[in-house]
Amino acid sequence: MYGWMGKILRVDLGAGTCKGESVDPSVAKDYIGGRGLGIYLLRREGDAGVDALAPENPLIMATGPLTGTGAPTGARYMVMTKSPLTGAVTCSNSGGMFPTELKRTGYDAIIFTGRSEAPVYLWLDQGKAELRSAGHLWGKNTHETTDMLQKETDAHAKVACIGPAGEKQVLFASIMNDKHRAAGRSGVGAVMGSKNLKAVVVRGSKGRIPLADPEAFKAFNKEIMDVFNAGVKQAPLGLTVNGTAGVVMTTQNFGVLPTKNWQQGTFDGWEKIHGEELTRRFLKKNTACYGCPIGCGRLTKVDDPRFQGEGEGPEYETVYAMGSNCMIDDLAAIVKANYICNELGMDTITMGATLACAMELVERGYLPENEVGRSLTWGDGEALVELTRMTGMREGFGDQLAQGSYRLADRYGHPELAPVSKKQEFPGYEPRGAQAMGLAYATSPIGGSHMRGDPAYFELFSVPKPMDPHQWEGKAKVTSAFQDLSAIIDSAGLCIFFAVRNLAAKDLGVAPTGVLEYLNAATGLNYTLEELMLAGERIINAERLFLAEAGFSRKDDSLPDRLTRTPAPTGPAKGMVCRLDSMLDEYYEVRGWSENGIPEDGVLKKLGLDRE
Amino acid sequence: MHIHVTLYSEFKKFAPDGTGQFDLTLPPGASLGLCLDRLQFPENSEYTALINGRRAHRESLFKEGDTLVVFPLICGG
Repeated sequence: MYGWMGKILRVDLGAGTCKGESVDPSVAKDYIGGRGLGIYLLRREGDAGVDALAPENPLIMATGPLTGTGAPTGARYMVMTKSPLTGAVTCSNSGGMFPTELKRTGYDAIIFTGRSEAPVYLWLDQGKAELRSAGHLWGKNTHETTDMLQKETDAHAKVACIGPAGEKQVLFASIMNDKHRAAGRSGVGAVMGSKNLKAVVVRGSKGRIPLADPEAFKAFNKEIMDVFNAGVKQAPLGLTVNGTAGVVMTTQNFGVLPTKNWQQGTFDGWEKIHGEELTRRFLKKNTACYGCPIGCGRLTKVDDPRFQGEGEGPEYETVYAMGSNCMIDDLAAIVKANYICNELGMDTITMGATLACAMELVERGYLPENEVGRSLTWGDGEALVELTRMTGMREGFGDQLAQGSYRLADRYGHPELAPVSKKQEFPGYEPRGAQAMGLAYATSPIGGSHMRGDPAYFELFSVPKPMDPHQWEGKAKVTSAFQDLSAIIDSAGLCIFFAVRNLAAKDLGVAPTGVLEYLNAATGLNYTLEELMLAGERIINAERLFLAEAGFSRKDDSLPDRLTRTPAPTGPAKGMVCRLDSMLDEYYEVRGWSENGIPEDGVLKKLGLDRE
Repeated sequence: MHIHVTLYSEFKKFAPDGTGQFDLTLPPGASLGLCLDRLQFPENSEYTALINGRRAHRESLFKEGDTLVVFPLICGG
């Protein structure tokens, strides 16, 4: 096989054994790799009805055929399992250096099954796999763990690990790799913790990723990079200059910057948390994942004695969740809370959104402050930092916050205050003023997410072409096209930030024209454009079948009443609600799903999928 | 016809006093294109322009008292 290494490592944590198996080439073509391979394996290995934290729930780490090939941003891997936060599938995606190194060990993917009796880590050295005791690492944060593991294995090894939050099964614990990159969402770190698996350490310096047609690959790469570099020469990319936090200016001015636990879409203090302020006050240098020409990562340092620290971030999503959404305009506090999340191994979006929900519960008198153990009011940066740490350690009230906003709000009798779909908190785009975002949140297989098909591109960023963010008619078709595209990008091992803009058609059909060229040169599988687009649709439908088997249907493709019934009080979307129901009807029709959101036989036959 | 203009980031340099916020007098029925030309925006600038919070194009027309906001295009969050 080309592009692929052709092998999957199976690690049985209960038995303590590791063995390799071959990749079926027809599966490789039908599911592309990465996210597609992940859902294929999860459906084959797992039971959608299982408790996510039980040993029977497999944990899959999968690279794509373009990971590590030198295709721009080909640096990604996916973590697929059943989520303890949502009960749905996870598609947690991360870059950095770990995924490329994992692939160079000779394995495209790792399947972890069972549960180890005692803490262990996997040491995968140039194709040789070994489970080692991790008793001495248990309790260490992600940075300490990484340093200790590189010392005892290989100074150049790459590490993906959990921190105390994953060990303590915080429901939104992340898996951190290369210290600062996160497979952040849906609690993949809690699943890893439930298996007593502390880390995966990889060294693959001798491995080479075989390409089917290196000359064609190189020629196409030159074509793409010449266009990209000419554009950058004219004007540097916003993502390079201010990181993703530069998006604050866009969302604020469109009136879709979620504020005060999603009550409104504008924040008076936005200029204090904007990316330009981050650059001016805290940026040390940009960082980039393997093979990335953008470099949106931020290495930052805070000298303020209250919040001293050094690390990476924050991203836009963190700034919204911990900033405007909590009415916090103290950027130093946000940066510090981000560091804590990275070190303890937690998702910043769910952390910030859960805290904002707690602030509203307190304000409305539903949550007594004495249960929190401290004052908790809008705008309190010190509370953000302290409660973030307590959540990661499950100390005091942190133990409640560790359940995420839905379970917290439900405990105090007001689940409607949780900003979630499928119990997962939303990223930072208010759907009353960006209608298709609401549809994307409701239909994303992982619950509230912007990464599984991101309408912000056409609603807010004008990529590839602008669509009016207030319009809802006609959004279903474009949203489903973006979802299919994201499935293809995630499966190939590329990053959305580069691929949507540079490797897809420049119309709202977003056919994956550039991804196709790279994939064919890398794999030699000779996809037609139609076959590749069908693969994207197949992956979305396979995920949907997993959800249906876990009991999900239309009732779960939902948004809180706050967004669908309460008109936006401020900004350009003032007076509007998100027209989810109208868009959902249209969406199911586009997808070939029943009125209840279940894939019909016709679409399954077209895609070669079977129900369980 | 008077409009209120806010220019952000590197576009502040096109404001008459460099602060980014100012009032501008335009001929009745003026378009965004005319306004940006008058402010000497380069033709190939990548920007998002909002008139009263709604995305505007070069052909969009102003009314008395409109607000215009212009900021650099950024993509990905």
